[in-house]
Amino acid sequence: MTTEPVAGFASCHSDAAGPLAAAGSPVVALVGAPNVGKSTLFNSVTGARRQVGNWPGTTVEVGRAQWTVPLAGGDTPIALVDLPGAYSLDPVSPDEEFTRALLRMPDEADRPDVVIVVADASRLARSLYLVSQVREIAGRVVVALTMSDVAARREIEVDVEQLRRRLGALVVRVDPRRGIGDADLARAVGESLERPPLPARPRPDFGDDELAAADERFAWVQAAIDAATVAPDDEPHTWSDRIDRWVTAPWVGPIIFLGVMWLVFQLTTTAAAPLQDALDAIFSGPVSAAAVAVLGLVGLAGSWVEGFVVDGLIGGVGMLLTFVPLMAIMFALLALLEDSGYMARAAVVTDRTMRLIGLPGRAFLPLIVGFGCNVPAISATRVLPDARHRILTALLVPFTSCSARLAVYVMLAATFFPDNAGNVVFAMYVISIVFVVVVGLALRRTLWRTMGRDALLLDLPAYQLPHLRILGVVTWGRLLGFLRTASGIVVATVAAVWLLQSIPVGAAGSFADVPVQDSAYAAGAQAVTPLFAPTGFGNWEAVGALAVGFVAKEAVISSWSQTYAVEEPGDLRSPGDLGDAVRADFDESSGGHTTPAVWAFLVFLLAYTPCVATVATQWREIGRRWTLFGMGVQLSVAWLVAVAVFQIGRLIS
Amino acid sequence: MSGGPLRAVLGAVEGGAITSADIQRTTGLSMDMIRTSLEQLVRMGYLSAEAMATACPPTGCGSCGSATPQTGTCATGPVLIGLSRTQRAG
Repeated sequence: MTTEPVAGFASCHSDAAGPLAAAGSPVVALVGAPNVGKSTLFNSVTGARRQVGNWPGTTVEVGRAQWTVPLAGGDTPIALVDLPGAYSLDPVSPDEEFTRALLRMPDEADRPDVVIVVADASRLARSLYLVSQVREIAGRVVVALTMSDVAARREIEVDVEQLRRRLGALVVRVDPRRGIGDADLARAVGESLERPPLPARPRPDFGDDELAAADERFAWVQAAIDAATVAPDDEPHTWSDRIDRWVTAPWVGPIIFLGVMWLVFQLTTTAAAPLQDALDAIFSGPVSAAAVAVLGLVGLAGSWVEGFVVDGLIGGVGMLLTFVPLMAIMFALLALLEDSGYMARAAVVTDRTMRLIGLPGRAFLPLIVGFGCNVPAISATRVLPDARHRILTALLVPFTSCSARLAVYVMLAATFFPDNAGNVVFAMYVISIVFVVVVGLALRRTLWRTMGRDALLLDLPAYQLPHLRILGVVTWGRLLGFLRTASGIVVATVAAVWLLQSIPVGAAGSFADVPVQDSAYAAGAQAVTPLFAPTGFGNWEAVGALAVGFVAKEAVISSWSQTYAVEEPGDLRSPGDLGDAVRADFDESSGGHTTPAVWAFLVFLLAYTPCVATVATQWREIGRRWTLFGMGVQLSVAWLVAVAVFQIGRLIS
Repeated sequence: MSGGPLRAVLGAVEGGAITSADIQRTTGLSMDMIRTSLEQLVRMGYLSAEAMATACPPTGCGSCGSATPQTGTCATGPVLIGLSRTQRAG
C-alpha cells in the first residue's frame, strides 16, 4: 500500500523532462483495469509521446503526455496522465490505493479535471464497477468503450446512448488499435470540460458494511447492463463449454468419469504387465546368471554370498524396478488428464459424489487409482489441497484392493470355491469399497471431527492439447522421487526376508542351506501364529505367507509354494498340489470350519498393510507418524474383521 | 440472502454451487457478472482462491521443470482454481 502523501494533479504539468502542458491547463486522468486497452488508447491519442516517470513523492510509475482537445472553439493542449491499471478504487493493491488517493484528493484543485474510465465492452460488468466508484466522486467523467469488435463477435450489442443515460457520463466508442474514435473522445473531453462537474452518484450510507456497499455498486452496474446491452440468452459457448455440459452433468458426468478411470486402470495394468514381466525375466535370468558367473570367478559359487546377492539384492532391485513401468504409465496418464484440463472436471464430478458419503470430494480419484496399485494412488493424493484430506485419503488408499491382491484372491477362490470363484473375487472388491467408506467415516468422526466441508467453487480451465514436454518432465520427476525413497526400503526388506529364510533354527541345515520350515522365518511365523487362532487360519504357513505379503502381495503364493515345497502353479485357476496343501492346513487350523477361515484370510489379506512400497510412499507423502498410525489401523481392522468373519461364520456354518 | 448480484453469487456458493455454471443456474446472472462477482469476493476476502495441480511437486513450482525461469510458475497447462469460503463469510 502507498502510505506516503500523494501530490495532487496540480503538480503534474511538468517534470524533469520539461513542461507537458501550460500551467493551469486541464489535466485528464486515464483509469481502467489491466488489459482493457488503456495504454493502447493513451498511445493512440497522444501519438505515443509518452514520458514515463515516478509520480511526485511516490515510487508509482505513471505515463504522461500532452494531448490536444477541441475546447472553447480551438484546439487546446492538455495533460493526459495514464494512471496504473486498477480494477477498482478499493484500497487492495498499491496501484489501486494510489489511484483512489489521486481521484479523492481533499482539495478539488488537486483532482483531475476529467477522468476517462476505459471500459471493455465485451466484459462490461468487470469494467463498470470502477465506473460506479468514480461516479461516487463529484467530477467530470467520460467512459471510453473499447473491445466493441470482441463484443460484436460474442453477439453483445451495447446501446451507447442508453449506457450514457444510466451511467450519467459521456460514453464514447473507441478502437485504439485502429485509431478509431480518438477524435470523438477528444470532443467528448472538450465537451465535458465546458460543462460543470457532475454531482456524485447518490447512494445510501452503508457505514462499515463493505459487502452491502459493493453489492449496491454491482446492482447499479447490473441495472446499467440490463438497460444498455443486448446479449444472447446464453453466452456463445466454446467447444470447452459444450463438452462440459456432458462431462460435468450430474448423472452423465460420473459415468464418463468412471469410464475414464476404467481406461486409466486398464491401460496401466495391461500396458505395464508385459514390461513388468520382461524386467522380472531380465533380473531373474541374465542379470542373476551374470552375477552367479562373476561370483564363480572369484570363488564364491554356491556360497551364502551368492544366495544373498542373487536372491536378496538382485531379487529386491528387480522387484522394485518392476514397479517402474506401472508408476511411469500411471503418472503419465494422470499428468495427461491434468494438462488436458479433464482433471478439473473430474474434481467437480467426484466432489458431488463424495459429499454424499462425507469424504473429501477429490479423494475419489486416488481411491480409484488405488484399485490398480496403491503406490501411485498415494502419490495421487496430491490432488487434494487440504493437508488433512491428503492424510485421510492416504490412510484409506491401502484399503482399496490393488491388482497384486487379485492373484491371491483368484488362487484361493479357485481352491475353495471353484464354482463361485468369480463371485468371490467380485465380493472382495465390494468389501474393499465398504472398508474405505466405513474406515473413512470412522476416522472423520474421531480424528477429524472439526474437518468442515468448505464451500468449494471450481473455475474450469479451457481444454487444451497436452504438452509432451510437460508430461515427460512431470512423469520423470515423480518417478525419480519414488525411486529415491522406495528403493532403500524395498531392497532392505527383500534382503531381510531372504536372510530370515537362510538362518537355520535348531540342528537342521546350515546358513543359506536350510529348509524353510527350519528357518528363522518359520520360527518367527510360529511365534505369532497363536495371535491368529481366533481367525481360523492360525497355521504358521499362512501367517508366514502374510508376513512375506507385507513385502509384496505377489510373494504370498511363491512363499506358500516354497513352504510346502511344491511347484508354484502356472495357472492360478488350477492350483493343484499347492491348493491341496493349503486346504489341508486351513481344515486343521479352523477345526473343520474351512469356509469362514478362508473368508477371514481373504479379508485380512485385503485390509492389512499392502506392501513395503506403499509404506515407503506413505512415508514420503504423509510422514512417519501417520504412516505408522495407518499401519496400526490396517492391522487392527484386518484382525478384528477377520476374527468377526470367522467367529460369526463358524456359528452359522 | 437478498440483494444484488454480489450477495446472490455468495449465496449460491454457500448453497453448494460447485461451478460457475451452477451459479448461473441458481442466480440467472451472466457469466461476466458471475466472474466479476467472484473476483470481487476474492478481493474482499469472502472467498479464497487456490491453484491446484496433480502433477506439481510438493515443494512447489520452484523445483518443477515446467516452471518458467522468469516467474517460477507453470509455463502452461490449465490449472484448477479452487475457491473456498473463508471465515469472514461465515
